Amino acid sequence: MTKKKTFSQQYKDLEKITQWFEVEDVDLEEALKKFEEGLGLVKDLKSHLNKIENKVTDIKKQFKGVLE
Amino acid sequence: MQTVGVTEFLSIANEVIAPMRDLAVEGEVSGFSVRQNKWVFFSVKDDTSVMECFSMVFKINIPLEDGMKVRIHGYPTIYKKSGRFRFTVDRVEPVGEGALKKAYEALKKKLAEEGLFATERKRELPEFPSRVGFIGSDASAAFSDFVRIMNNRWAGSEIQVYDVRVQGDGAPGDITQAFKFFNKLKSKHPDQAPEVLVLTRGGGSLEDLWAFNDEKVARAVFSSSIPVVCGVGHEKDESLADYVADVRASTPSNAAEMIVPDKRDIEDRIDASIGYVESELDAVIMHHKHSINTSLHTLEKVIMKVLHDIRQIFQTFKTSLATMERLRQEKLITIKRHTDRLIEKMSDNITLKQKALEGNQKILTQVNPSHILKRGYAITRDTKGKIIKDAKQIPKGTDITIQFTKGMSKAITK
Repeated sequence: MTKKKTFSQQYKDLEKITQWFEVEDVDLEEALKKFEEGLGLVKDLKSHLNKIENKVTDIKKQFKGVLE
Repeated sequence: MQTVGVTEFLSIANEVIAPMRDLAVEGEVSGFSVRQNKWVFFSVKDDTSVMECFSMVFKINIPLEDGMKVRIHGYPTIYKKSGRFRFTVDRVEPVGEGALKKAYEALKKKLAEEGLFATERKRELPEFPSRVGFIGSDASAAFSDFVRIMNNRWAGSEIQVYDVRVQGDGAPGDITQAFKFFNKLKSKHPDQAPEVLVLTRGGGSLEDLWAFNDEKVARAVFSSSIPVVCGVGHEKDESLADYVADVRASTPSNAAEMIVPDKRDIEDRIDASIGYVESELDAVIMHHKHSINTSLHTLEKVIMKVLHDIRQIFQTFKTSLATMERLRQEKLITIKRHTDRLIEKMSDNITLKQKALEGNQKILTQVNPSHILKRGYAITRDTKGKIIKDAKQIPKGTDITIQFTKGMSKAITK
């Protein structure tokens, strides 16, 4: 199973799609595919931003004994 | 009374004074010198007394100079070879605002010369960090300010808190330990390590903030493989850690602002991106529609032309067919005419031939031997059937045959 992409990776993917459209003579079929992909990314990105807050963890406790 | 040798006495004396290591000594530096880049010698004095000190270069974490007021930590010993009393220094702290500032400036100069503040080595921070390492006190206002601003601006990231003392003797050690921890985490578990570190504490006196001017802390920030944002004190405060950090924030809240963007801005950017993509896609579709219409139009024109050509060919064909039919009719008439004439000629010919035949029949009838026989003539033949036309042909006694019109007779000539 592939790991879910981070916000940063997804944002970059969206930027790539935008840049792709900036190139002239785009192929319609490919364009539709990219648009759909873009919509999916927007959905994921927005759902990330709609999370209530950030998670606070005690990293020392979490890695106790692991990094010694 | 017990008597001991000098060496033993000094050993006992050293043991006796050993518990004095719990005392820190404050005084003014004098006679500061470094030998072989390794050994440090100086004295500390107050108005009436002086004490010789010895240390190693690596233990002196602030640049010392004569006249500087310091607090030294270490232990006293009587050096056996010379019998001199010396204080072995483990750590030196500057004392008083003036001394602190002096020490600060001196260390700042030293680190700047070493290139620790060089702008070209400052790294860019990740735009959207998934994990942020927080090095500071988790019970401080600085921490709650930091988290509040992080939550106002951003969501879904993990703030990995490494609680440290941010002032006092133990603070530099804690802070360097935290840097070590996070860097180790990055090398061992990069997918769980923070992408940016924030070193922070709230405001305080120069002494309170002193840990952030510690050389070890500055070097820990410098050698961190993870980019560091430093936000110490209030806006006016500065620390050496600030200068070494990749990004300097004025306060803990400002550090949060430096680390994450405002999600409303990003949401706008996302909307703009997909809006742009949508409009571009519309343009592509319009372009294709136009192309299709143009192609259809061209195709229609071609089809019309082909149809026209076919009609023309058909027309020509029809005309040719009519011409052919006319020619055929003409030919038929000609043939009929010729046939009629032929039949006519043939029938004339037949009549003529019939007449000639009839004439010939008549002649034949007339010359027919049977007709002649009827008139009483007879034909005489020898035994071979040959007609005898001359009597000399047959001697006497020859058998002959005589044919009459009716019947035959055999005879012998005489």
